[in-house]
Amino acid sequence: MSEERGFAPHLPSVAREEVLEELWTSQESGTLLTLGALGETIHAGPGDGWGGVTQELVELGWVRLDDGHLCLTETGKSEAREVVRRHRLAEVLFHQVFELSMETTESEACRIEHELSPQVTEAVCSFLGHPPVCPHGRPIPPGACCALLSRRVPSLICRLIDLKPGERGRVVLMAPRHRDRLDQLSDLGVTPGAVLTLRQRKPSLVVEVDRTLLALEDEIADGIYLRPLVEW
Amino acid sequence: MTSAPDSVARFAPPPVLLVGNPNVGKSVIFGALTKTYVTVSNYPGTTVEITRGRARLLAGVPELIDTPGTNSLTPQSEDEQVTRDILLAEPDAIVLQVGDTKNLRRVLYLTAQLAELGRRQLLVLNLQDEARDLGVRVESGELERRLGIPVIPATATRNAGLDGIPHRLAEATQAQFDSAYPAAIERAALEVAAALPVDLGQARRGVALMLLAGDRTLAEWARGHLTEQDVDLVETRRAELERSLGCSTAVAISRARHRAVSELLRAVFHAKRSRAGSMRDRLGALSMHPVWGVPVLAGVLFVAYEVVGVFGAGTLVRLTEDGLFGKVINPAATALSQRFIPWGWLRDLLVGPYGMVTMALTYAIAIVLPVVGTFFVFFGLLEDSGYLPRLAVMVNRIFRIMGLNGKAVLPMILGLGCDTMATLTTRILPTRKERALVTFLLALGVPCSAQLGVVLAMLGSMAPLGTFIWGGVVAATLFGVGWAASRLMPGRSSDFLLEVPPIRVPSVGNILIKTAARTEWYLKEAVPLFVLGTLVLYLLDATGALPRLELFSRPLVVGLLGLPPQAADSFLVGFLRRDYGAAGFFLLRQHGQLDGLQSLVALVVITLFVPCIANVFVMIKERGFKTAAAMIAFIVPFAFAVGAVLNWVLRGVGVHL
Repeated sequence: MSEERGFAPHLPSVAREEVLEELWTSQESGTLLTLGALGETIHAGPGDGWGGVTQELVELGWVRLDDGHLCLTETGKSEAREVVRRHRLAEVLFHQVFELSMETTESEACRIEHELSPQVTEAVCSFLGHPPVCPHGRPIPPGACCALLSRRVPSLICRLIDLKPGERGRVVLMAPRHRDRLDQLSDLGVTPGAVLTLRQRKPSLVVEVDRTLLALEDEIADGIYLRPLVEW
Repeated sequence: MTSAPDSVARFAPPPVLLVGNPNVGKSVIFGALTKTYVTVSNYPGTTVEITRGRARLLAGVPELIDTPGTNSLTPQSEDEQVTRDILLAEPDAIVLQVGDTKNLRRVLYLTAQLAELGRRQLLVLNLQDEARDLGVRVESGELERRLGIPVIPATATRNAGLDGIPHRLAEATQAQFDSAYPAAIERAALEVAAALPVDLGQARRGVALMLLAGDRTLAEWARGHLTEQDVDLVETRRAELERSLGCSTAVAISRARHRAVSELLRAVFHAKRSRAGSMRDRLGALSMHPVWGVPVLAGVLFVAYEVVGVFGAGTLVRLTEDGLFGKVINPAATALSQRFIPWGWLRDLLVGPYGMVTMALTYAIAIVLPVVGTFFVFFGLLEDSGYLPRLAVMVNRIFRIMGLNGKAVLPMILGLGCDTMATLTTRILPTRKERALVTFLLALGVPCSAQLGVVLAMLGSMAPLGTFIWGGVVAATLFGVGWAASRLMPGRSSDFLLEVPPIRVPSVGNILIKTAARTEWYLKEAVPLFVLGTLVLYLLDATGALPRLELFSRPLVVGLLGLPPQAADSFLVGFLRRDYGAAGFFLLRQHGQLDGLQSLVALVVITLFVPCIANVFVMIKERGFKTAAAMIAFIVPFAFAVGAVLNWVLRGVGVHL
C-alpha cells in the first residue's frame, strides 16, 4: 500500500469501489452529489482523478447523471451495497470484537473492503451474529446469510449477554476487562470449552455452568463470547 | 513457628486440613469429626475466620483446621489467600478435600493443584443426595484408581459415608494428576523449583507454577523466601513464557489443568441431562425472578418482622427486661449493693442510672440479646436455605447506585440485626473501598433491631405519612450519601460475581449450632463493649461533664431542630447508644412533650446518628482510627443538618402529623 492512502489509479477496481461507496453513503443520507462535490468529499481522499473513474462507471451503466447529480443505477446499487456491507462488517469486527480504536477501524475497514471474497464476508457476518448496524449506527445492508435470520439461524458466535434465557452456548473466547477476572472465572469453571446456559437476565444475569449457578455483572458477560448450541 | 520438644513432635499426629470449594459442606464435616460447633453457611465466604478443633473421631485426635472455601490455590480474595497460606504453612498436614459431587469438574481442578503441592490427601465426594436428584453419577472406584487416593462418597448432612474418613485416613497420599503443561512451562517450572527453599519439599513444583503464573499475592512470600536473583529469574522466565506462549502463563496453566480434568471426567462422570423442574429449582428461580422475586422478598421481610420484631423484640424482651431484670435481677442487685457496699460511687457504678448491672447488662442481656438471638436464628435459616445469594441477585442493580454490588446485601441485612456485628462481616467484601463504604453506610443509616423496635413503636403513634417520610428520608440519605461517597472515596469496586448455591432445606441442628456459636460471639465480643460504653457514660456523669454538654447542645436542639430542651439529653445518650436516644424520645412522646412533627424530626436525626459506642469501637478496630474518626465527624453534623432541613421544610409546607 502506498503511504498516501486514497486514489490509486493503478488499481481501477479499488477506485471504482471507493466512488460507489461514497455515492451509496450520500444517497443514504438523502443528498445527491455533483462530480465536483464528490471530488471534495470522497472518503478515500479528494483529488482530480475521480472524474475519470466516474466516467468509467457511467460507461459501465452503474452510475447515471441526473441534472448534474450522480445517481446509482440498479446494477450500480447492487455493486455498491456489497462494498458498503464489507466495509461496515469490517468495522464491527475491528471495533467491537477486536476493540481497535475508531481511527484504526476506519482506515483498516477502508482497506479490507476491497479484499474480502463473498465467502469470507458471509463467514464474518455469521461470526458477528449478522449485526444490523455498524459502529456509527448506519445500517449494514443484509446479505444472503442474513435473510435466513427470519428462521433465527444461530450466529456462529455471540456474546453471553446476547443470549436469551434458556439458550446455551459453548465458550469460545473470554475477553474480560480485568485480567484477574479471567482467572477467577476460570476457577469457577467458566473457561473456553465450557457450556453455559443463560438462566435469567434480570434483575441480574444468572448462568449455569456444569451444575453451578453463577450471578454475573453484565460487564463480565459482555466479554464472554460463545458459540450458541441449538436445541433440537 | 516455635520449636516443640522432640517427644511431642514425634508423637503429635500431623494436623488435618479441610479444603474445598465454597458451599460443599466442609463445616458440617468439621462438626461431625470434632463434635463441637462451628459456623456452617450457604453464603459464599461466610467462613472468613478459620476454625480449629480436635478431630476426636480420627486416630490420634489430630488438630483439624477448617479453611475458607476456595476454587483455586491462586487466590482471588482474602479468604482464598488464607487457605493457600495455611497450605504453605502446614507442609506436613494431611489434606481432607471435600467436594460437591455434582460439580466434580471444580473439585478435580482443585485436586490437580493440591497434587502439585505434593500434599497427602483424601477426597470426600459430598452432597451425594443432591447429585442423585440431578441424575449425576460418579464412579468413585474408578476415580480412586486413577487418582491413587481414597475417594469417599458421602452425604454429610445425613451423616452418611463419613465413617470412611477415620477408616481411610492412614491411606492418604499424593494424588496422581498430570496436567501435561506445555514443555516450555515444564522446563521453567523445573528450573524455578530448583531455586526454591528445600523445606518446601514436595510443594516446590506447585509453588514454582504459582510463581510462574504471576500470582501477585505470593510476592511478599517470595521476598521473604527467595534471593533477589531468584525473584528476577522468575520474572524473566515468566516474561519469556508469555512471549513464546502468546498468552499469559496463568491462562496456559489453567487451560492445561482444565483439559486434564475434562479427560478424567469423561471416564468417571455420568450425567443425564436434567429436566429442570424440581420443586427446589423452581423455588430457587422464583426467588430471583424479576417480578415474583419481589413478593418473595416481601414475604421474607414480613416473616423477619414477625420473628424478630414481634416475637424477639416484643414478647421475649418483655419477659427478660420487665420480668427477669426489672423484677428480679436489678432489684436484687440494688438491694445487695445497698447492704454491702459502703461507697456511693461504687454503688452507682454497679446499679446507678449508668450502672454496669442496671444499664450495661440490662441492655446487653435483657434488651439486645433476645432481639439479636432471634435474628441469628432467622438469619441462619436464610443462610442455610440459600436465599441470601438470591437476594443479592435481586438487589445488585439497586446497590450499584451506592457504588456497591449485590454481595453487600449480607452485611446490610445483618445491620438490621446488629450494626456492630454487621461491621465485622464487611470482611467478606472483596475490596477495601467496599468494606469502608458499607461500614460507613451501616453507621449512617441502617437502624439495628433494638433501635428499629423503638422507632417503629413511635412511628405507629403518628399518621402513616410519618412512617413514609421517615423511610423516604433515611433511604434517600443512604442512596444519596452512598452515591456521593462511592465517587469520592479512592479505590476500586469489585464486579458482581457470585455463586448461587441450590435451595436447601436447613437442618435444625445446624441452625442451633450456628446460633449458639454466634450468641457466644456476641457475649464475648459485644457485651464487653456495652460495658465500656456504659463506663464512659458513668464517668461523664460522675465528673459532671454530662450536664455541661447538655447545656452546650441545647441551642442546636431547640433552635435548629425545633425540639423541647429536654430532647438534648436523649441526643447525648444517643451519642453513646443510638437506640437509647430513641428510647428517650419515646418517653418524651409518651409524656406528651413531643408533637408528631417533632417526633419525626427527632427520629430521623437519631436514625442517622452513629449507632452506638460498641459500633464505634468496632469501626476503629476494623477500619483504623483515622477512617472511623472521619466517618463519625461526617455523620454527627450531617444527621443534625438533615434534621434541621426536614424541620424547616415540614414547617414551611405546614405538615401535620
